[in-house]
Amino acid sequence: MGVNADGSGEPVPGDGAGDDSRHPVVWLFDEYARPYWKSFAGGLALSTTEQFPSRLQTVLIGVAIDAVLLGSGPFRLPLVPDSWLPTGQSAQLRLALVLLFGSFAAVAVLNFTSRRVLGRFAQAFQHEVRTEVFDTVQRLEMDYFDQHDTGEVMSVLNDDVQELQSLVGGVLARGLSLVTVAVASYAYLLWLNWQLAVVLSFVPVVLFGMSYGFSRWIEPKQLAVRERVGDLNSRLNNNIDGVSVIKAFGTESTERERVRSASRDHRDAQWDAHWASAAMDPVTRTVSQLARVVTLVLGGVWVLSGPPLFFTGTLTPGALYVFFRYVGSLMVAMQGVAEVVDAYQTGKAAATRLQGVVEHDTVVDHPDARELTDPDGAVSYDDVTFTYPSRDEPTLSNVSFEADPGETVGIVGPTGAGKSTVLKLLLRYYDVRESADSRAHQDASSSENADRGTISVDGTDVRDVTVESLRGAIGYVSQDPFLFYGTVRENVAYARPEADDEAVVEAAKLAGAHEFVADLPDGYDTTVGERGVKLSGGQRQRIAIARAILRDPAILVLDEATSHVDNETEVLIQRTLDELAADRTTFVVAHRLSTVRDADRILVVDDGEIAERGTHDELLDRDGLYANLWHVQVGDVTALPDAFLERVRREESA
Amino acid sequence: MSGADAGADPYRADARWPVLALLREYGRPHLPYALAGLTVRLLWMLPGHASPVIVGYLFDTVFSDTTPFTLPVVSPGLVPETQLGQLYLLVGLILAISVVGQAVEWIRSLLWGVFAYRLQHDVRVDAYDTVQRLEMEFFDDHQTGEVMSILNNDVDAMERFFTDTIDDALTVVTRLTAYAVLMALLNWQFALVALAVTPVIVVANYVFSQYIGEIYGRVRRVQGELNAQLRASISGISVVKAYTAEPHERERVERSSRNVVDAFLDAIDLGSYHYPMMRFLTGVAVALTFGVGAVWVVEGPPGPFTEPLTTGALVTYLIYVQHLSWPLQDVASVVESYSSADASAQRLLGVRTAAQSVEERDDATELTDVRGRVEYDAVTFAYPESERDDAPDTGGTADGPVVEDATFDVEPGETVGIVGPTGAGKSTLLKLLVRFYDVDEGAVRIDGHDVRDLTLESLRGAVGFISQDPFLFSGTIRENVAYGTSEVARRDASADADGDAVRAALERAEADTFVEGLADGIDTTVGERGVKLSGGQRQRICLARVMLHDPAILVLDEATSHVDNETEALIQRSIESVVADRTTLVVAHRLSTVKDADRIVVVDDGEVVEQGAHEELLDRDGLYATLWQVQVGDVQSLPQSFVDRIERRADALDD
Repeated sequence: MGVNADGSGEPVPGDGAGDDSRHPVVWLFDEYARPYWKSFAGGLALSTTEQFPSRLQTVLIGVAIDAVLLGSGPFRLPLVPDSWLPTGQSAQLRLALVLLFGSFAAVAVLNFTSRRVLGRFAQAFQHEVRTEVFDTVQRLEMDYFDQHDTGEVMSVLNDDVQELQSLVGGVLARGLSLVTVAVASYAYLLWLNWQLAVVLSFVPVVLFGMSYGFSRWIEPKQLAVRERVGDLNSRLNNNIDGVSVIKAFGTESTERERVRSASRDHRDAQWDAHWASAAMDPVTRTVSQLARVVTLVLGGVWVLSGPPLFFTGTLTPGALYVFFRYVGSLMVAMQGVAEVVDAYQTGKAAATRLQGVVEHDTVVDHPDARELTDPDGAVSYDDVTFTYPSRDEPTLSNVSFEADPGETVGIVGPTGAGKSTVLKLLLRYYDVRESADSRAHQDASSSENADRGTISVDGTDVRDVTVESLRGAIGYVSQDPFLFYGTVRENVAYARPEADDEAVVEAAKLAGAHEFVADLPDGYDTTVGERGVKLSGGQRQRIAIARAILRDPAILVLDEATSHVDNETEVLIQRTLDELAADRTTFVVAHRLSTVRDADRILVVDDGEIAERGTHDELLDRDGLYANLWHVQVGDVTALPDAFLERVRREESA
Repeated sequence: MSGADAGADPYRADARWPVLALLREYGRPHLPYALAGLTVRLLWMLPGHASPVIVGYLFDTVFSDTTPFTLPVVSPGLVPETQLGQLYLLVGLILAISVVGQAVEWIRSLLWGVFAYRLQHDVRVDAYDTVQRLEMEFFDDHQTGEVMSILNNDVDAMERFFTDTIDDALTVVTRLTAYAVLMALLNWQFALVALAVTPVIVVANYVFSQYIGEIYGRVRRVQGELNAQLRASISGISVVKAYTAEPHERERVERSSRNVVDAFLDAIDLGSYHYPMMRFLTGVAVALTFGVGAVWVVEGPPGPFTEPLTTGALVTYLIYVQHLSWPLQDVASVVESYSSADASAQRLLGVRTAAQSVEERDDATELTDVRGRVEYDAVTFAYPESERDDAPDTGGTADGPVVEDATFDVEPGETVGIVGPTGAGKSTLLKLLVRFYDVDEGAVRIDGHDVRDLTLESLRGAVGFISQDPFLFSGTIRENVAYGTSEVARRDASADADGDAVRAALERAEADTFVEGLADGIDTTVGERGVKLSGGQRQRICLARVMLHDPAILVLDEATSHVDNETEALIQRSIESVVADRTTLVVAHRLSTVKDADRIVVVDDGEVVEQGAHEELLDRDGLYATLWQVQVGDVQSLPQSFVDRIERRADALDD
């Protein structure tokens, strides 16, 4: 029975674990449970031990029935020499009662202790896994987060970690205790009458087989129920999201029918599963009842008229009572085995996912990486070609430009041209991985597309400085002004939690946020985010800008920072930017050309390459891509050359 | 839900027993199944639990000759003489009870299943239907997640309650009753002894259930907090990285996780008292039964008791007493499940009391042969009290009406742009036309008919509405474009004849090129499990959807505000081909969108302040001209008064 191997966290044989790496469950325990192995082993030992006094009770009663009530057998106890036992009936009864009480007390104490020890272990283990896995995940490269949405990552950090609780409690502890129940019961049965015990040993095997087979049989049906639930929920979700469309088209009755049919599918699947278990339960129960009946008949005949068939020796009514009771509890135990196996499968899947996440790549600092101290903010890109790890085609090709300290550079271009990527490389959200020949999966033809080039700050390659000092020198404001749950002050001071009030207010003033923050109910102590005050996009963006400049970075990066705010709010932000950008190198990625109109220099990125560069007026004069984009900006759609529209269309369907 | 009690629990129903109210409402058609199931259960209650009695009898009559073997009802002649014969008879009886019992159990479980699953299906479909018929203000006020949690979690909680909890509770009750009755029938005096500990177990369980509810409430709460913390850290990962705040985040997660651990440890500690105590109490009951019973058997009834007790009867009692504890342990979970079902039922009933702000008049007429003349006649509108804080586009001055005394006409076939600063009330004007809300004063008319005198269906059929968020249902592009065409047409949507109409609509919306490029053309699945389309692509599919309907009036509510400039150029060209012969109202924030409209209506603070063509308005050098400066990035030359104004507005907007 596949569960016994779990006690030590060993893989179940034949479950297909690869040779090259450790079994996920082993890995998980090895990696995170080591500091707690004592309470783990202790808890398992306690919960195992508990089964012996627990099983003893029925034996005590059986023996007492024989010796005290019916006089049909001697008073005896397992592992105790008969000579130690009293001979008088009332003394025997008293001893039996004392032992009975003792065993209850022992069970209670053992159960109490093992629950606490194992429970503490499970929690400590989970806590360890949760914190460590989170820490590993947050240090993964951005590429990981591009490919996995928040929901996916959350389901690993949350659901899969939660699953560990049932891995400890539901699989290891329960599995072990089921095995012990079987072993303890069987040990007592062997002691009482080994012949009958041997014959009845087929019962647990048959029951286990049945319950296992049954769970295999019903599994697809339960899976179908879960799938239908998923379908139903996505339909509901979809409809609620699109309720304005439903109303605009007046399709309420059609939608009701569609929901009804999804709900009916769900109900049918449920019914199917219900029917299966309603049909199967009686069968298993009848079989186990049959086992009891066989016990009663065999035992009964034996008690009445001596050993039947090939049996020898005697069987007392008290022993028959014990057999009758144990056959029942073995049945319960064996039915639990299938659940344990299922829980184990789920737990293993969770462990596999956790392992998969943790073993992802992370951006690693060079061993000899230097600190970037007090940079002037000169940035240079030298022939940078970059391909996202998950893509085949390079996103940037041969990008070269320089920005002097204090300069403001606008980066514009059509959607998907690679504008943001330029800056993500500066922050080392991704690294340009230069060694072309080490990229084993690249074939020769694409070697000209292989990553190359360098990005340097103050003449130092960004890959040669520590990530922390590099990012410390850059203030980054993204498209989605993300605020953490907490107060305005906490959000502004996010980069420097030790910053004093004065600095926070100063930053907020610079970002043009001070006035509205001061008007909030609790000023800087107002809670924002989920359950706090709702801020408008423009307000959140200004807090994000305050956050970025609190560190007084030499380089300021605004990555489409104003693309989600309306025109008027943009005006406000833009006006504050002039002041902010004054003495730092500032990069402004923008889709709306009005944002970068006044930049010292504008780089027009197209298809990963820098197509044009110059000031607004110079670029307009060139009448190239920038001029066309400007036509769009000012609504001169009819003035656009057909070739431009053709291009937009083409790019989009690519 | 209107106004007053928008407080803590907005969906409270008045019903005192919400679960019962719900049951009364939806249970009726399925009641026969429930009653049949219950009847079967009650009929089988005593025989079903009788085998321990037979086992006891077996001990008395067959294994020790303390009692003569007799059978009730059966004539003595038929009773087997030999002990072996008696053994076979009794064992056969046990087997028979078991087999019949399983059959009965099977029937019962099926009957109950029919009841529970049908009930749940009805509740779910009806809850959905109720919700989708609520007017838009409900959805402005409640996030999708909230609404989903009613349709989903609350219906699920009801389902669990009906399928499992009631069933479990009935099992507990019948089992305990059956045990008590059978024990009392056998020897009522000894039954008192055997059941002596039971009340203690019941009370202890009940007390524990109180704490369990409390602790698990806390566990769920801190888990929710941890969840939110993790979600925030992952959603804001680019910020975390930009500020190298990983250690800080780790600390925060660690703290939340520690709280979860603490809450769980409390639960574990409680459990570590609860379960051993239950087992110990059961043990005490067994020991008491066995100790007193053994003395009773050997030395006769002790103290005031008079009825003799046999060994077999004692065996029967022991089996019963050992079985007592597990149904009692379920009491706690039954109590918990009931209280959650109670809250859910309250919300399910409560959502239906949400007020309908827009109702169809009884004498509403059909809008037919629409020419497309739209009139706004002195329209004044304020969002209802409860929505004011959250509703989009509330006026700059938070308390006043969003639209005030707005008057303008749109001639059939004319294209009118509506522009104005954020919060001026632009979108609200359009929502009044399709009656997502009703005007407070004045009237909106189509072809001279007040929209409030028309049936919702004919009104919304005549007006094609395209909103800011292009919404596609999960399904194929074909299904999405053909959405809302009559039921018959929809069923044939797979037929190729219809495909031509869909393709034509896509072509007019400039969406044909990219759709052709998709793997399965118009049969490509979009949405959640399908191809991800860009905002501009989705918007053009929405446009095609409206095209297929060919409405007389087209309403575009910031339809291009979420797409980039180039895509807008495409959409705009498609719109041009679409609007040619129909009345079109375009709300836009980006002025480039409406530049070429026949007429532009400039709205400010809910009032119409300027009207005219692009050039005329520029010449007037008013609000429109200033907004245009913003559009073309002439930020520095903006008049200071305008900057002050938008600053004030931006800050006032969200207080």
